Amino acid sequence: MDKKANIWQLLFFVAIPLVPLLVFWIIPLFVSVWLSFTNWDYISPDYEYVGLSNYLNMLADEAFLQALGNTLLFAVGTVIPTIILGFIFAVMLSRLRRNVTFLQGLMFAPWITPMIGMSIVWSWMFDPRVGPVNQMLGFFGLPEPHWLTDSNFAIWAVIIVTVWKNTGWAMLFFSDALTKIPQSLFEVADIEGAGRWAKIRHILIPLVSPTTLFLFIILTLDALQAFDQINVLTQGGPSGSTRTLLYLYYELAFEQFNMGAATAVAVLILVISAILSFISMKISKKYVYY
Amino acid sequence: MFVLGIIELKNVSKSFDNKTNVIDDLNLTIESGEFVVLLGPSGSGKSTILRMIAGLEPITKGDLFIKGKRQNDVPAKDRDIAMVFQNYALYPHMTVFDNIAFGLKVRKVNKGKIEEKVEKVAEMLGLTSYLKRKPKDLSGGQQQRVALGRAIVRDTDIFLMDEPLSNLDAKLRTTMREELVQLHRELSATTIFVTHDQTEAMTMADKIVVINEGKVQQIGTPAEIYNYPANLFVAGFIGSPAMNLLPLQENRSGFAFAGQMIQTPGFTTQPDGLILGIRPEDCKISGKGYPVKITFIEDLGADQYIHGISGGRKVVIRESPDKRFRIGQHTFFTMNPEKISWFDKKTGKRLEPADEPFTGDELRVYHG
Repeated sequence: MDKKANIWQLLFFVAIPLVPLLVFWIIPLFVSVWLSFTNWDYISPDYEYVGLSNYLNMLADEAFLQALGNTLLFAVGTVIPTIILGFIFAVMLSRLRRNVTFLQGLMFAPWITPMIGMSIVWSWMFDPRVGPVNQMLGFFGLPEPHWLTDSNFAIWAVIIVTVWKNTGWAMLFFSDALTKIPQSLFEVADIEGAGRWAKIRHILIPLVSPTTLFLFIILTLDALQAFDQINVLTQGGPSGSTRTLLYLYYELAFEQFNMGAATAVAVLILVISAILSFISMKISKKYVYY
Repeated sequence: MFVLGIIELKNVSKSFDNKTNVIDDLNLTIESGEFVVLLGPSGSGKSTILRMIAGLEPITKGDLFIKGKRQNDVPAKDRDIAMVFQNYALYPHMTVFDNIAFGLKVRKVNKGKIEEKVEKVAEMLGLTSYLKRKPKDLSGGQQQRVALGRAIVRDTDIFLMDEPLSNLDAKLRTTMREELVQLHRELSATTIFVTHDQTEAMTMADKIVVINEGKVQQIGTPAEIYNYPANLFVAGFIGSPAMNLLPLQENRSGFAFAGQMIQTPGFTTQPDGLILGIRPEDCKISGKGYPVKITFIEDLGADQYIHGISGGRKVVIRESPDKRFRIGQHTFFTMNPEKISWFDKKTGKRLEPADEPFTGDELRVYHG
């Protein structure tokens, strides 16, 4: 008997994972692109083709430009601190001898907690009068902002929650990367006369760079898709100051029932994600050591 | 004036668990320009000694002096020592150039100077055409050279080497051995070389320090250590095949082996049981002497090693390759009486004949 699978058997095995991918991913992707050229209202059966006008309107819309700015601020404001803090905590933990697993678990806990529940707790933490955040700021005589209702602070509140949630997760990846660096590399550095900063700069940072790149891409995509915390904490407000592109999409699609404009935003999010991933892969050729 | 060695360990002990000493009360003086080999089986503590000198392991007790200054509390980076590791410890993300230049860079040497020095060292080691490559694109021998280059480029006068040749294949190891000795002559830096390979020790060292279980067993030139092993451990560890160590029976009239009386000299101390040590090359198969039954023949081309049983003991005899023996043959062997080493059975220590007192200085061989 022939031990090799024939072509139909092979296709069958490939089809099983391909079906959900097609149904939930590839087909909706093309449908979205198609919808972005229409003015469908999400409910009625008829629609008209409007060409590029959804895109043109979008680029002229101030709400969109504000959302784009918010998204950039939110992405930069969460990704960079998450990576830096995750790295610092991992390095600190790697110097401990005892309780490492316990502390790692403690720091990792926010990541396995559902964002919705956590956001509700944080909305109480940020309460301007009785919330612990302002109590603490007040104790040190610092200004006590109205975190969630002041348009200058709301985005920072959301950023703080997101960084807090993701740091433990990033730390875990860095911890693993650090354990893979042979001890002798640091011993050589000692003998060669490298101080603490030189060791971090010339050995630690370059040798964890594949992890940094991975976290950068995943966290950036995660930032572009942030929704739960914004929905619970601020609903995009006050005055659109926490409305990111994805939240704008949600509002356009499910509050204003303007599916054409919404899918145009969605397509743009996809394009931005693709461009960012592409750029980071390009940059990585130079700075990431494998 | 009292001349100090460049490196001095005084009553140094090391313990990892505060209970047992891995290194126990070690005293060692290394003179400037010497090629010293720390030789011992794995787990003997030789690498720990090296790491204490480098500053990678704290010293539990005792003092370490380098160039007359106490170094116990000086961090590794301020000791100005170069070290080569067994696994080379090259930085995988840096080019060969950057690996060699690393020490100079972190010490803020100016760029032109770094380039000049690295190029000089690369030329010396035959690495010039590899400077832009990453370590993973190099062979084991080339990686080894890069590790050496990183040590040499610093212009320090103390080199520590922790089994640097053990990851190389046998042929490359022989050539690197030669090159290292050559390099040591050129640089005239003090080198401390750790190995468990006695061939490396014998061929490279000015001075061998034999270490076992954290204690110095013997310090001497290769010839001293080979010809006058200080105790049973050294006798059994040095030489391949090892020295024959034959316990003697004591009876009323003296000592005997395999039923034959053995002429023993008078000793400076009264022995408590005797062990006779004789190297395979100082034994000969003969028509008379001690009876031996041949059990195994190792033919190495240039020599043959005859393994046999004599007086219930295994013995190894080196013979010239042209003679014919067969397994199972009963014959006799003789020993060159001048080459016999005597050991106290109880203490394991070498016994010196009383009539011709041995002094280390007579036998000292000066190298290079």
